[in-house]
Amino acid sequence: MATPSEVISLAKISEYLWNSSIPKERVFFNGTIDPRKPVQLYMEWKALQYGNDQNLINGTGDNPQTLQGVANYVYALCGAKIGIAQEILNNGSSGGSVVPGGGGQGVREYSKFAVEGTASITFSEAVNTTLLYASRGGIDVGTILTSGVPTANQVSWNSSTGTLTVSSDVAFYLNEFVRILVK
Amino acid sequence: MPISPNFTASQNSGTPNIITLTDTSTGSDGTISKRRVYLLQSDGTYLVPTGTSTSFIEWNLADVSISLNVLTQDSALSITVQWLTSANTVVANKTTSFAFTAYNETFYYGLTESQVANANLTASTNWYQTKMILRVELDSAYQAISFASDIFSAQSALNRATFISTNSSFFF
Repeated sequence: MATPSEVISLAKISEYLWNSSIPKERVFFNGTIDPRKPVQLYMEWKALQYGNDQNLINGTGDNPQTLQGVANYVYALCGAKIGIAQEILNNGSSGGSVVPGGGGQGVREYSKFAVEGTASITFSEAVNTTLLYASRGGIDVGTILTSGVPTANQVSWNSSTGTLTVSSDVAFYLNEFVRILVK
Repeated sequence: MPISPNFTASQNSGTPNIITLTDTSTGSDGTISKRRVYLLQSDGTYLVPTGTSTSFIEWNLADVSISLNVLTQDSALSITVQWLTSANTVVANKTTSFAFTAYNETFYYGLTESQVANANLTASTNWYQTKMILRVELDSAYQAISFASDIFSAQSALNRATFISTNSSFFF
């Protein structure tokens, strides 16, 4: 369970990540993210920060909640960005960095347009990396497997070849946009 | 080493009516025999505890900190501390502006607590809209102080925030 201090940091990073996602979603995918998301996160981590600074462990006001309870609520609001935020937070203190489409030792982002009817797509730049996140057409994929055959919205990641495989039941459509984050 | 005057101010969520000043000066000056505090408000008047007849508050030199029960709502204050001789000659002084926001910040935190208790509250049309206005007013007050030591603008923002929190039944 993340501490209130950790949640404040995670929420600040998630706010940035959601803010970054929304314009992209608007351009490419007709806007599927609630545009209020980063604003909500800002409003709530500000409250949590005050509660943490004032050490309001057992709460205050008409509906007192524990500080950890409020932290858990803000943690949940981070939503789908929490995994990347955690990765960035963990790497940040040791100088890790996000290098979109480039090299480096931190988190890297790659994207491609898939071939219609296929179930695999290879990112040669991502060989020997760990897959942190993937999306298809702007929609987050489900569980990331490292072995076995993916079903439904699962995907499988072959690190040695940099190949992402989706379920053959839901093969890629024409020029489907595939985005991955690897480390 | 000559005195380098400085102080900090703080406020607690549980006792928002009280502000606490702490002397963080370094060095010394043998001619100093008393210390005074001036709490200048945005309307140009000085805030003092009930029963004080002067515009300043005596701060005993023996006390590192002083707690002042002076607030009834969030306030932006320009606080001056003077170090004086026995003949009331100012040896050193320091002025810093502060936004004391514990009333509204605690209310704001309470809104989030209510959301934790009942997440459906945010489905109300006005909930986030009004909460965001409250957040903006508080942030405006902080920025007026940190960017420009502007207690007038800060107090105006805090008054708008206070209007929301003291009339919460109409907004939330």
